[in-house]
Amino acid sequence: MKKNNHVSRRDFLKKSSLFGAASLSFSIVPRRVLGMNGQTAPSDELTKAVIGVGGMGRGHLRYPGARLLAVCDVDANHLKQALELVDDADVKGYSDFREVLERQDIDIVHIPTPPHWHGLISIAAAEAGKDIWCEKPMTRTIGEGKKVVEAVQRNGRIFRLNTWFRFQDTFYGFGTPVKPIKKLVDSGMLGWPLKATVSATTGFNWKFNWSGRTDLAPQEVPAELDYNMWLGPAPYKPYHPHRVHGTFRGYWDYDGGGLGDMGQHYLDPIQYLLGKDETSPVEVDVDTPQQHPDAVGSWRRITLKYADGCQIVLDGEDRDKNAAFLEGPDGKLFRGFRSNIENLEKKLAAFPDPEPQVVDFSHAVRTRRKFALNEANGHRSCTLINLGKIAVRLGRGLKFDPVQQRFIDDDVANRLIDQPMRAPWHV
Amino acid sequence: MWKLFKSRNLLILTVSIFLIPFVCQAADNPLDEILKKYPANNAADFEAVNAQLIGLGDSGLLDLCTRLKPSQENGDAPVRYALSGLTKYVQLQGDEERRQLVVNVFLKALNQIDDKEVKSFLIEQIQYIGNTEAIAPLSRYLTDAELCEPAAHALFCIKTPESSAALLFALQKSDDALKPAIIKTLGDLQSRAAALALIPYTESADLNTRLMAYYAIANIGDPSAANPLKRALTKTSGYEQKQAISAYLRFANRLAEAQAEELALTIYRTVLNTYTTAEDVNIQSAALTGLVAIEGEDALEDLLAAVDSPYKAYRNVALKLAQQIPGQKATWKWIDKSKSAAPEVRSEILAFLGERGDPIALPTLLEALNDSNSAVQMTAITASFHLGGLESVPFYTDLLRTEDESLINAVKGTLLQVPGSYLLTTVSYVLPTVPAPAKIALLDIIAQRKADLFFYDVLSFTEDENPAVRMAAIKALRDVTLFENVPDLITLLENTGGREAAETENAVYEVIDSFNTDQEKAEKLVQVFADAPSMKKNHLLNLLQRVRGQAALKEAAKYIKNPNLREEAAEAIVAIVCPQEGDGFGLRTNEAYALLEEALGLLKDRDLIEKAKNHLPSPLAEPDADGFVSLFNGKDMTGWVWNNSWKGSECGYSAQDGAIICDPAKGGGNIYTDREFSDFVFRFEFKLTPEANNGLGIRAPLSGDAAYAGMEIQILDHDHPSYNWIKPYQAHGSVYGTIPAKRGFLKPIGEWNEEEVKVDGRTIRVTLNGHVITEGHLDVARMPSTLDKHNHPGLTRTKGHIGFLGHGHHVEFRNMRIKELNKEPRPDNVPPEGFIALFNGEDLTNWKGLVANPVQRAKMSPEELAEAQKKADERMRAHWHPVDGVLVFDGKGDSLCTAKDYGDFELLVDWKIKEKGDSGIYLRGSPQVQIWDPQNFNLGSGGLYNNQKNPSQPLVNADHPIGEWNTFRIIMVGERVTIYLNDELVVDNTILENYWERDKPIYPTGSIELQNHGNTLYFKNIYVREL
Repeated sequence: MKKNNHVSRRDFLKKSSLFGAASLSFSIVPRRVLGMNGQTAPSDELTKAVIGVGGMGRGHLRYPGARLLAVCDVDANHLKQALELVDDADVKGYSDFREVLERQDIDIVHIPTPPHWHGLISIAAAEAGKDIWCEKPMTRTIGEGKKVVEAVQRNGRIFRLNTWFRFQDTFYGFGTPVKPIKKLVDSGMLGWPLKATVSATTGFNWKFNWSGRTDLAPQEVPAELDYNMWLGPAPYKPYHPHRVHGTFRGYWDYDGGGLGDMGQHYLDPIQYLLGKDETSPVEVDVDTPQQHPDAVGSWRRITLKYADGCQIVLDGEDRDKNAAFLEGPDGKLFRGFRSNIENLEKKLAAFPDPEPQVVDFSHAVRTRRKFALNEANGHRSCTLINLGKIAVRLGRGLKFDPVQQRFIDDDVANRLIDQPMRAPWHV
Repeated sequence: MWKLFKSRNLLILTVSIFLIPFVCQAADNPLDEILKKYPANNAADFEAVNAQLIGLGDSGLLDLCTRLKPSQENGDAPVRYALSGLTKYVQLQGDEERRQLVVNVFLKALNQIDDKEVKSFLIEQIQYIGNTEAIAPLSRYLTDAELCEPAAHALFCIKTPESSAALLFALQKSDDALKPAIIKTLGDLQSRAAALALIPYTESADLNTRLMAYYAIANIGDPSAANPLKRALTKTSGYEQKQAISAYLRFANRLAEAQAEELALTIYRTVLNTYTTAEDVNIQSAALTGLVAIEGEDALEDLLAAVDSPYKAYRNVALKLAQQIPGQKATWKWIDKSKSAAPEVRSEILAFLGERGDPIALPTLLEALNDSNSAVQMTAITASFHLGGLESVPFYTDLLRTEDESLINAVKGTLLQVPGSYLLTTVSYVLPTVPAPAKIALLDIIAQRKADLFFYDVLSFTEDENPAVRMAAIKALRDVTLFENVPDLITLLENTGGREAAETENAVYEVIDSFNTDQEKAEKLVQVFADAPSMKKNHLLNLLQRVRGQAALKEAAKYIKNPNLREEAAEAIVAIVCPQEGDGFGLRTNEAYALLEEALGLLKDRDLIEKAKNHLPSPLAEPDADGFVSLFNGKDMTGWVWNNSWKGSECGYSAQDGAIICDPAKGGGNIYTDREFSDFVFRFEFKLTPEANNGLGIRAPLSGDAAYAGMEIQILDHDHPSYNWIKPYQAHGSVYGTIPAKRGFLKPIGEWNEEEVKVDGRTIRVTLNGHVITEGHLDVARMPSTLDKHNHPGLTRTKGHIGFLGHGHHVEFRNMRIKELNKEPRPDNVPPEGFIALFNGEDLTNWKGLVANPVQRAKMSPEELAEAQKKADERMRAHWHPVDGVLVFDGKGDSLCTAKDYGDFELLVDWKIKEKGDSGIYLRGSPQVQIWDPQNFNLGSGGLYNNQKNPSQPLVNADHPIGEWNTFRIIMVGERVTIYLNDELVVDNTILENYWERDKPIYPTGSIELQNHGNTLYFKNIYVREL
């Protein structure tokens, strides 16, 4: 650990006039009126900052709905490139996200950092009164996820994840959006319980290319990178370029390979389809080669089982080329919306639509309505991923209590729910 | 960083570790064998290898630890797998003795090994399985800059009072830089013992130390933390202050958990009263949340007051918290509150009531449907539906009577969530009574539900006076029309124009599109438009364009001469023939090209003209002295089209140096001539590379596997050893799978070969470098089955494209030229090559009269037979007359028979009948190949009419209109018959049953007869070739 801590170098202790006002009257004027330069023109526009502008972050710069005011990155080159890309004198650059959170003129914080930072920054942002647009997977551990849910809810914040297939767009190789699938499931035509299979045959790629290397000889940290801050809560390990930036997914300390990368995109819609937004599986089975303690490797099969018999099968080997995406006692649904139920499209049209969802984030922020994919159901679908990761790392099956969100009689596995963080980071 | 600090030690350590294997080699260390098994492939292997590892005992395991390399250099991955695996294994086993053994090994290794990175790895393992025995050894490291945190985490995992004590002790001794980590861990452990000791650190000069101290004393939750935290609130700002506030609230949570609820409540209330500005809404929210958690139902008044806040986010939190206080009394209070609130707040409360689930709120929500503020009305709609479901639906009717579109859409959104029959009943009841905007919404609901029972209701609105309603109704028709309703759509088309007509077309198309094949779709379209006035046939043409395919083209072609519709017909033809997005080829038959040419003359739109011109085949070159036309200009691919077998690849064929080269490195696919050819002599040169495999497609369609869908003349380096298994029908020059080729005439690899393929009618001949290597009859080759026993329908094609089929090897082609045969009509009754004329145009030579039937004739004596024959011949001459080269039958005599009997043969015969005419061709003296008026019998000619067990109907109706000539080509081999009518296959390799003696197969020989059926008949061009 470096002797001179990153924090003391900076002076971000701004004075603001919070205290001293003896009056208890409520201030009616929107806070943005007290803007950066003391301007008094209120604006209806929402504003945002993006923390983490390396890979995905650059995409976030352009997401519509809010005006960009700040970008932040621990890599000085990434920061510089982002500022050049934006080319806007009003956008300020930062290397410490805590300074960004202090700005009172920023409404929304985007968090496209690597996953090991998601939980911390989400909570800090919630405690700073910001609304949050966080990248997936929501959190690296189940423990952080629980804390994010609590922090977002008690601080009354609007939170969304950066995955959207449960309400929009074609669902990867499956070939259609999720809405008609939801209609089909709700209609009961497939029966109950259901088994969902996520494999190449049903239209999904598990991206095992995101594997870590086990031969990383330490290298000198590049001048532009604040490695200690990049690591944040993660254990200190000697620097190597493969750990950071484009390839962090290969290391358990920061993410979880293809499962971490794509898992929430694939499994969140399935959780929605099965109506399991408020619960978790009770059992996890796994078939995998032994995992390296540091580097993520591939796995063969993960099965998540719910109490009512529903199952989600993550098939990394794609052995069953005839697998249905959804299978129930009364019918099957295959990739491309093919089915063994005749005249499905016509039959389906006669059924009611599923409940509409709030799908405009700016609208959610303004009206304080929960976004379609929020901290609560996002945590539950992220838990599916994290259950998978734990089972794979331990190489065995697990039993889980969905209410307590802990493993049953399994101290070993529970040590992976709340994992240690380096000071000064905690949840 | 490790390297920078300890490079010298690293060197020593690396060298020493490197030497160990050399030392151990002599002893043939079992550890090496075990390490080879990592990573274990599955749970069983994992179990086994760990058992082995344990078996090594603590000295063996210590040895293993020493094999760890610093920072994973030089690949110590197997060792890391082994040790981390061991840790998991021991945990799982739950065997206390083993656990201690392993932990002690790790602790010993920690002592022996200097490298910090290796040590931190070992400490990480202890995090998983360590217990009190590890506390003292680990505590040493709390003062070590690099190892403090791993050790502190391990102590946290061990979680006993001793770990707290060790940490506390270390706190005093450690450097300032390490204090934050230790303080944090004490906080994580909620170590009461440390509570007082930590307080001074809240005033440290170092920010991180202060932050950790706030967190730690808060998390520990000892009352002594109250004042330090309060002080921190006042003395800090910015991020630190937010952390201090967060700690303060955390502290309150801990107090509440420890039953010190009064203290906690005081803190929450203080915070609520202190942080009241817009920037602090989230802090207020957090405090309110804590308060409600303690007060429970007693918090109701606080929550009601909270909703007076000017901050929406805060009100929202309050309402969410209010969900935790159930009961009717509470609900009534909220109802009252909603009545006195400003509209924005009223909406929020109503939404809350909708989600609260207490039915007594429903009347309030329904009342709010009539609120003067439309935002409130909108909320009332969704909230009342959420709470009341179907019960609420009747109340929405009045809203539908407004003209407010957002209200109507909100109602529509709820209605779409209502199940089927109830919804549709409601909708149909309401539909006539509401104004236009609502009508439009309701019509869309019917459409979304595809409620075809409501077809007539929807249809009635196509006459509404409001054009928007009419349009909505027409659009809805797309989803509710069944095929039986289409006539009503056609009527509608007759009475509409412009966009309404276009949308009606869409509705018709939607229904037609549900049929399976292009052919069926075209037929159904023709059927529904059959009774439409010709003025409206332009709609038919628009729809044919969308259906596409051969059948649609044929229909569209019928209108090209119609003066009122020819321009539309021309546009339709262009649309059908030319390729569309993703279609690739479009239609490329000669008929299609001919129609396109005709259409071109009628087009006005420049883009369409361009499109049509681009699709026409390139002009043929001038024939040379021998009548051959070149198909390759030596420079480019003009005249050839590419079939992309794999999407996204480039064409593997290209023109270079006067040749067309197939280069697999370049890409894939096949190439075809843009034109079709029927009978021809095709000549070309080719050059092979070793193992080359390609093929010449003949009479091929543009899609499908040309070897089966068309015919393929094999191009192959068949002498290559890798092809030593092939059969003669797979050799170079064979008609692949069906007609064998002679071997021995290919030039050496790398030299040019000269080949000629002649297809004339049903015969084919291949000549290679001057030698005829393949000769055969295309129907005989598949009757009763082909040599390779596969189905080769392509052999029955009478025309198609020439192509080069292959993409796996480098092959070159040049000098492709073609001479088409049989282009000029032959004079009547002059036989083609290989045939004799049974009718010479002038008299009845080669013919005799009919005597009874084969069964009866067999019973007659030679004298009886001769007598009967004489009489029959006289009758023949009375009723069968050659007239100007045509053999005419007056309908009153008997059938005409060939003088000779025939076994296997190919017969050509032109015939013409009058309306309702009926005749046939008898083969082997037995009935028959049917000839009749298709209008009369709803079926074309050519079928083996008298078959009972085998097919008896023609495959297609290929007849020319009554009064025009038709041509049969009949091939009989053994029991089987293949028949072409006007060059279309009507009977495919079918057994002809023996009509006279049903239990026997057809006679091996017999006469060919022209049947009398009581009508006037005309025959000519009767040719036969024995096979």
